[in-house]
Amino acid sequence: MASTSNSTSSKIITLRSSDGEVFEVEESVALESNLIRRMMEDDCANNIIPLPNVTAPIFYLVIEHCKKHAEMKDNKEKKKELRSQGEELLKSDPHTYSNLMEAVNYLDIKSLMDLTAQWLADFLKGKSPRLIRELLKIKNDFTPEEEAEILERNRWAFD
Amino acid sequence: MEVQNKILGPWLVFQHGKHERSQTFFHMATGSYHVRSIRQMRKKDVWLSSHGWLLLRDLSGRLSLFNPISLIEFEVPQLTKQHHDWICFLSAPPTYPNCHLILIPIKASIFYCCKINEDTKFSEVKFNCFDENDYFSDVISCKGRTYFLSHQRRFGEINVGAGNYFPTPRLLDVETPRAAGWKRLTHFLVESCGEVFLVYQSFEVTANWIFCFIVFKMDFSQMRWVHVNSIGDRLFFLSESCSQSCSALKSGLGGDQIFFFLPNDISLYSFHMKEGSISVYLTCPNLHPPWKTPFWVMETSNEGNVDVKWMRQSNVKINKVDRKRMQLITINEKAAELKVAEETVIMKIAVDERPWPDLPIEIAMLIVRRLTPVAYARMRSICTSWRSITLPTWLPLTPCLIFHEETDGFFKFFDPLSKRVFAANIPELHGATFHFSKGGWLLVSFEDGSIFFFNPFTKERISLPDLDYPFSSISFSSMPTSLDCIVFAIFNGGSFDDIFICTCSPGAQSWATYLRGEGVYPLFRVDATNPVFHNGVFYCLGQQGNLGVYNVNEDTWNVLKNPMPLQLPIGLCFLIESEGQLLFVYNRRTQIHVFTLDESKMVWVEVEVLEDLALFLSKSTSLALTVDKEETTGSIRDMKNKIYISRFRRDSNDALFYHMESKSHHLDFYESKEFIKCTWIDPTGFEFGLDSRGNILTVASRLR
Repeated sequence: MASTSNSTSSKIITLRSSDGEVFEVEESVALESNLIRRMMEDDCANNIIPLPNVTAPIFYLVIEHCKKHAEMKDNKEKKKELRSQGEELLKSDPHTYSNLMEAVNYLDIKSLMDLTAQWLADFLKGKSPRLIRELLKIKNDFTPEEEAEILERNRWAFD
Repeated sequence: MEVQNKILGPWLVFQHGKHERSQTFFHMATGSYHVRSIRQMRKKDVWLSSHGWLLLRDLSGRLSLFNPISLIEFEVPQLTKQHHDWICFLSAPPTYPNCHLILIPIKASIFYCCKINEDTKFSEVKFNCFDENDYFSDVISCKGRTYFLSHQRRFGEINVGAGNYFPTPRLLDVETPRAAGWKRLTHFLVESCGEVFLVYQSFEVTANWIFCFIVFKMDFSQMRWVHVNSIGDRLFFLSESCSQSCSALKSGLGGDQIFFFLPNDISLYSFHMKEGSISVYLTCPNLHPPWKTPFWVMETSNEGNVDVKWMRQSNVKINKVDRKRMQLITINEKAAELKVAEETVIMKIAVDERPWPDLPIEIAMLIVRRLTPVAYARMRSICTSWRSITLPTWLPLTPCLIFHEETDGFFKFFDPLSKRVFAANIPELHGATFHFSKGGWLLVSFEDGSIFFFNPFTKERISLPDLDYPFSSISFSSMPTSLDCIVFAIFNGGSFDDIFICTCSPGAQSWATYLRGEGVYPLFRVDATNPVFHNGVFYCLGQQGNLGVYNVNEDTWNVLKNPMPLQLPIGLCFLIESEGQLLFVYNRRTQIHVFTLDESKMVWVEVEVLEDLALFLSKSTSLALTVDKEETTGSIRDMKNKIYISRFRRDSNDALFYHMESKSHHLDFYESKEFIKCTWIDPTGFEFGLDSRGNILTVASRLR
């Protein structure tokens, strides 16, 4: 888990997810989140910081990504690894990926917002709408008339 | 508000009233002003010197050193020879041992020197380190050494206080930095935190238009001037006799700024280096003439124990409005910021979780800005919820002001109608100077002499051959994409009555250059405002207010005898063409006058109302917009009879305009700022897709 009891001097921040699980996170990692940073500045630092919008599995994912992101700064291999993991998650469990994006957005972690958006954008590039729907398990809820009209108006994008 | 016990930072001092009877001290950090009548300063000439001390001279020529903060006065030996003006330099505060006072008469080859508290008379020192026509301009002390700059910007040192020898100036082997050649240049030597800086302030040739500031730092290890883009936490306070500096942190003002004055102008200006903008302040609005150009008194921490009781006496006035103007960061404001942050947190918590395809707009925008237009169109055809991701759009209806904000490197478009600023990343324009714009096309030049047309909306570029001449005024006749487009540049040559004309068409191999007007009467000095193409000829404004015309087809140049020049005091002039009529706009400080050319009598006629016209003035491009009575909506209809200048408010994006009806600016001129690199441009042929922060993502030609 995200517990870092073996660390020597770094301060530990305690956070609680919406489903009640308690996380102990190194301060340096927790401060990647501008939301937590602001909350700590408001002097909740000695208490448990509640995160009512993030569930435990998603928060665990966020912490993992934060740590890997910190490690990958000068490491191309790690960068590749993180990227392929992100793509894997997007393909295998798009629903979790969307929750991850929302959590990152809510926690206001600038670096991960950019990263997750970039992966999704790269994923969307060069794929047809039908393939995207299939891969991301999105239902086509256009009426046939609407779909025909969209196709007509955006012909330049589909040829 | 309480006056703090330990006041630090700069004071701005105005001497005013008959016989310099009164002084107004403006405290930059708190924005408060204090009107005093200091006995010691009455009927005295004042020279500013370093370390916060003034040199006073009374009517009989008696000299003294005076500290206006501590009110301490020091006797100075008397000078037998009279000089009208000089540079005054103190090697240390006179309260310190080993303080030398040096007086350097302007353009002389001698100076006077004495040791305060020790010498009973000045020693006369002859020197011959300068070439002919060169003389002392700035003297500063830095880390116990004394440096100077000459009129011709050569750098040197004076060995003050070395034993019993007389101080001797000598030039150091330092190359004088060059600045783009033809602009009027003034320079300032500034000591700051143990380092020496050289500031170039460059003006348009003909007016008090600041063109730019260039700052160099002395690298003493290599003995050369190094160009710097930022002065960090420092503040510079420029003044002709003795420029000063302090740390922004200590003074309570925002950093990276250069404060300065313009001649015969009571306003205080500040150039923000990172933003590339100039702000203007009216520090003491109730000052009655006559007043002299103010000077700075720097209160240093060395004098932290100075008695400030006199400042707390009954006469102290705190001007709250002014305090706001100086944009202070006080503890209260910081508290307010924190509160705002707190509120955002609460708002974010209130947001509910959403299922996958229903992306929050912030996330959608993060993704969309990374997509190509094709991928964006495809993404919007996946499902209805993604279909609803649309970019907010900007449909400009009026000219907008393009400017370059150095802080984030983005080019911004200020729309005076919607009062919004839109940002675009246009790397092609980095380092460009805007000269003129027409129909969405900019004419830009770079330091390497290259000049070309660039459309910042379509990113199209149309090349022109390099123009190696120092043109003062330039414009073009029609769209650069059209066959009959002519670029026309004009400037005065070295001899007083020479006129150089350069013309070129897109696609030409080189510029056609002619020397005209040799000995032709009347004289014509080209004004900084750009020529206007009208009825097949380029009209050029002369500094005397006269008109010169260049006929493109006949290739002829004439200075018109009529209209007669208007004989107006020095101010900013603008020439504009609007629906076949020539307009001449004259701007002196906050007042604006508009004239039209009556072509039947060839006279300028002042107009009181602009009818359906809105004017947009800037140094490089001035445009007129006819507001259509029938078809337009409320806010654009309100723009008529108004003159927009290239400034807007510092704290909001409100345009600063001059209302012809009330004959005044509708917003406080003294709360406005102008970006040095800016010009009006017509974006009305395009529509822009934006992200949530107002950044321009897509540009499309508007369907008509």
